[in-house]
Parts: sequence; C-alpha cells; structure tokens
Amino acid sequence: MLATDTTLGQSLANRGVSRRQLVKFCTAMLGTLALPDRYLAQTMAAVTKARKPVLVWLPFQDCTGCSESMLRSSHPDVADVVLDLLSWEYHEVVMAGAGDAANKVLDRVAKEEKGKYIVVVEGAIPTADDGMYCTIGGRTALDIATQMCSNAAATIAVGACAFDGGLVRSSPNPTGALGVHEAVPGIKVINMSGCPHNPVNTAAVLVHYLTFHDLPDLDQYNRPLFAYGRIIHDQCERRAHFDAGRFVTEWGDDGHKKGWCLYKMGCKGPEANFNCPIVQWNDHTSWPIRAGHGCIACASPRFWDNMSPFYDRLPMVHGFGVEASASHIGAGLLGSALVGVTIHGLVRTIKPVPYPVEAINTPAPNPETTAGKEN
Amino acid sequence: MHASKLELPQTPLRQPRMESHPRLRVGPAVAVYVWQYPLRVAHWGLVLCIGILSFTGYYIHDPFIIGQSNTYFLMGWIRFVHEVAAMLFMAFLLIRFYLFYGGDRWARLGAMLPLKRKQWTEMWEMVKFYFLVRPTPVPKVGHNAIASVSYLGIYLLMLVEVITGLVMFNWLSHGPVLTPLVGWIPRLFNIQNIRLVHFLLLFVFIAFGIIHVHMCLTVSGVEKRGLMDSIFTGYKIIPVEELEEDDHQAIAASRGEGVKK
Repeated sequence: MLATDTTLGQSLANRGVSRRQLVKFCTAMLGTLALPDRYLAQTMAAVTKARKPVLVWLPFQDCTGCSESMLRSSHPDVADVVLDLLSWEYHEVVMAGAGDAANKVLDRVAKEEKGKYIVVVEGAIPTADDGMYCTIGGRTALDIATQMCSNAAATIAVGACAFDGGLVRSSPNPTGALGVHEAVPGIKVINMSGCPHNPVNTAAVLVHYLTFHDLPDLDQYNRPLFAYGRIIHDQCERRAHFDAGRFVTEWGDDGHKKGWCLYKMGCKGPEANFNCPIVQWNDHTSWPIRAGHGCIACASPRFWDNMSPFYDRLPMVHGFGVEASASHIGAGLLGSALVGVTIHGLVRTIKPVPYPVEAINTPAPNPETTAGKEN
Repeated sequence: MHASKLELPQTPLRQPRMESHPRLRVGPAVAVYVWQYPLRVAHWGLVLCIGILSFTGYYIHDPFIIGQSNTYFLMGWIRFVHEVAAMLFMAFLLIRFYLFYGGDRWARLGAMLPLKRKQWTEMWEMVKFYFLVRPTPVPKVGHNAIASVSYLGIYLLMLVEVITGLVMFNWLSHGPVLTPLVGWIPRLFNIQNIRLVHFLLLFVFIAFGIIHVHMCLTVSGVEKRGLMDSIFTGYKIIPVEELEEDDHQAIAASRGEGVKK
C-alpha cells in the first residue's frame, strides 16, 4: 500500500514543523518563482491540504550529486518540507527497501498511480548497445524510464545528465548517453539543468505543481523560465566591476583578492542562463563566482563540450594541426595580409611592368602632330 | 575632351624639365559619375563603423585597460559605443543592399554577380594582373569581375557578422522584435561558436581592408584614370570608346538581349 492518504499538513504537524516555518518556506518558494505575495494563502492552502502525490526518483548514469544536493540541505526545516511535500516511494539512495521488493514498488506505482505520480530522473540514459551500460535489476535504464515516465503526470529531469546527457554524453560519449527528453520522446518533461540542479528551484517547481496543478512556464529547452530566464551576468554581484573594467588577469592577483570581475579568466556568466546568483547554494551561503571562480555555464546545453575551455573566453579552433586560439588565427591572418601586400608592392616597385603605351616619358604631345597615332 | 593645344617651350633649358614629368596620353575621355553619393556614403560609413567596431570589439574580447579607478563605466561605455556603431553599420549596410536594386548600373547586383562566362574569363585575366603576369588590369567602368566577387563575399560576411552580433545582443536584451528573428539561432549553433565566428570575422574584415586598399592603389597607379579619387568624388575618367561599349552593353542588358561582344 502506498502512503498517499495523509495530507501534507498532517504529516508536517506530526514532524513538528510549525506554521511559521511553513510560511517562511512558502514565501521563499514564491520568491524563487517570482510570484507576488498574494499567492501566499493559496500556496499555503495547497501545500497543507494537498494529498501528497507520489514521487519516484530514478537514478541512472549519475554521480548522486543531485540527490546529495536535494537531501543535504543545511537548513533542516526546508529539507523536511521538501521531502514531505511528496510521498517518495522510490529513491535508491535513501529508501529502506532493497532488492526485488524495491523493484516491485515501481511496477505498483506505474499501475496504481497511473497518470498521477511524478518522476524525477537523475543521470543520463545510455542507448548504445541496447542500453546495456546501465541496468537495474536486469532492466535497462531506457526500459525503466520508458515505463515510468510515459505513465507519469510529469517528469522532472534534474541535473545536467538527465537534461541533455551532461558529463556522460560529452565527447566521445562511449555509452550513447542521452538526456531524458531525447531518450524517451513524447513525455511531459521539465528540465532542471545544472551540475547539480539547484534544490531550491526543484522544490519551487514541486510547490508550483501542488498549487496550480501545472508546470511553470518553460523556455525552449523545457527549463522553467523563473530559474533559467535570465543570464548570470545580469544578476552577478561582480557586474559593477565588469562595467568599470576591473578584471582579474591572473589567479591570486590583486584584482582577484579584491573580488573583481572574472571575465578575462573565462567566466561564462555572459553565456549562461541560471538564477545561481539569486538563490545561491547551501541555503544562500555562496555560489561559484562569490567564491572566486568563474562560471562554467553548468546549466547550459551540452556545457562540457560547448563551454570548454572553462578558463578562456572563446573555444579553441580545430583544424590547424594543433588547436589554435582565435587571436592567434586572427594575428596570422592579418600578418599574412600585410606580408602579402608588402611583397606585392615591393615586386611592383623593383620590377615595374611597363605600361604598353608609348607616350610614357615623352613630352606632352601636340594633338595636331600626333593625330591618328592613338592606341 | 581633347587636350587643348599646348604651347611647348622650345628653349633647350626647359626641355629636360619637361621630360622629368611623365605624361600619359589617354585619348578622348570623359569624367563619368560612376559612384553615386549613397554608395560613397555607405562605403565611408562602413569604413568608419568597421574601424570603431574593430577597436571596441577587440576590447570587449580582451579588455586590456585594467582597473582604472577614475573610469567607473569604461567597459560599459565601450560596449555602448560598440552597439551604437553596430546599429549604424547595419544602416549603412542596408543602404548598400538597397543599391543592389536601386543603384546605378555599376552598383547593381546583376553587374556584380558572376553569372556570365565573360565575367569568369575577366576574373582569370585579373588574377594574372594581380600576380604580375599581365601588365594592365582589364579596363572597366565599374568594378572588375574579381573585385565584384570579393565585395559580394565581404557583404555576405558582413551579414553573418550582423546576424551573430544580433544573436548576442538579443542574448542579453530579449527584445520582442529580435527574439522571433534570431532567437532560434543559438538552439542550432552553440553560442560560443557564434561568438567565435563574430570575433574571427573581425580579422577577416581588417585583412580585406588591407588588401582592398593595396589593390585599389595598384590598379589606380597602373590605370591612371582616377580610381582612388572616384571613391571621394564619384567620378572616373573613362575613354570615350570604352564608355560607348559600356553603354551598348547596358542597353543590351536592359533589353534582355544578353551581352553582345
């Protein structure tokens, strides 16, 4: 029997979560979703009265970092609320059940809660060689994902790997890994990209689902706009240093110690869409750029391949024997042009081609005497 | 336009001085208004904008003035100048593109696209001139065939530069007009590669500028009919016979009879 009968309000009260803590949590969620505070009552009502929907968390080719990020919230109230929002029936990292019994839970959820439960996928799904590179209980990841996602109300792909294959899919991708929406086409999926996903955003999506029974507005990559609608650069706390031209030029230099802009160190903030600077990590403690490291655009599509080198502004150019930077190619092009025209000009000067008109170097002729001798 | 009769000084003292000033007979010739003022405005506008955009663009790629405490908005201003110059650049490019259809017969697309066999043989002759095999360039009222092709190529690359620039502009601003126009491009091409193309083309334009000026100087120096002057005044000195031939070809082309030769 699935534990779906108690409402969230009851279970939170049983765990000693006060109304004040719940209001704080709901307010934080509204802030993340960029909703006005008049939705607070509605959100509170939805969160407390909701019959807890079933959630299954499917880890495939992953590092468990997204699970860690979700579970190891340093703020226990929020973690409790997040975990209690839903009835988590299956999550390999934290569930007590094991073996055949645990596997049967998936079948039961797919049958009894068909069309009502939520699937969270963590990790990429291998498709090469019939998907043999990731199997659980004898079934391939693709098989499990197809069964669970196509019967679910919605699928949430957390982390870069579930979004588009992430690290697993980066070149040369020996396992043929794909993100969920590519591996299992035609399902209702919301992508929470990032390495790892930000648990605040994922919690906000769940709250949005409980309140409005729908997923939030999505961008072209099926990522929620509230979290991925703006670029990091526009929200960055070091933006003023960028505009003023105060840049770190070397790790540990004076500017680095003063917290100047990391643009010249290859920070991908101007390329990356995420709300990292706003929600930050570990309960608003810090985030990469505050810690002095440039953004690597971990929430961007195929970021391992597309955004490297992480410590240079532009990609290297292949096809010149060795990789060359754009500036070197440009300098070579300009140098060749200058050398070319110089040589051309010198040759023309040293060995001028005689102009085939006899009138050169003769005094200006009298038109009357030279009439009829024109070329 | 016959040269008026010159009274040559006959004293022996004056004669060597005359010989030290080479003179070239071109026969009867007329000054033809080849480059209309919109074309010249577009040309010099593009030159100015490319100059500004190259400097500011390189600075944005690699800001080399670091930590000036008295410039609180240096990078911001450079980016602002770059964006304004880019808008101007697009306006001048639009003027040039309009002249492909609305310009005179030497600026039109039909005169520049190498669709006829004659243009390809002319191109080969010009290659021979540039490689010092042929003593003189192919005489033309407008652009020669190889210049036409290189300009069309550069206009195409300018279009690529404009589009990649608009993609990056829209990446930050998300305008309601630009998003439907270029918002789909970063989905097909990785934004980093778009930046790379935008940056590499900067060098292509400057290299083109160097070669372009050198070739114009070379041709102008050999032809001696005011090629360099024409981009300022619009006028070229064209021998009457050559202009008549050009007129005949233009009339034939306008009647759809093809080029007679």
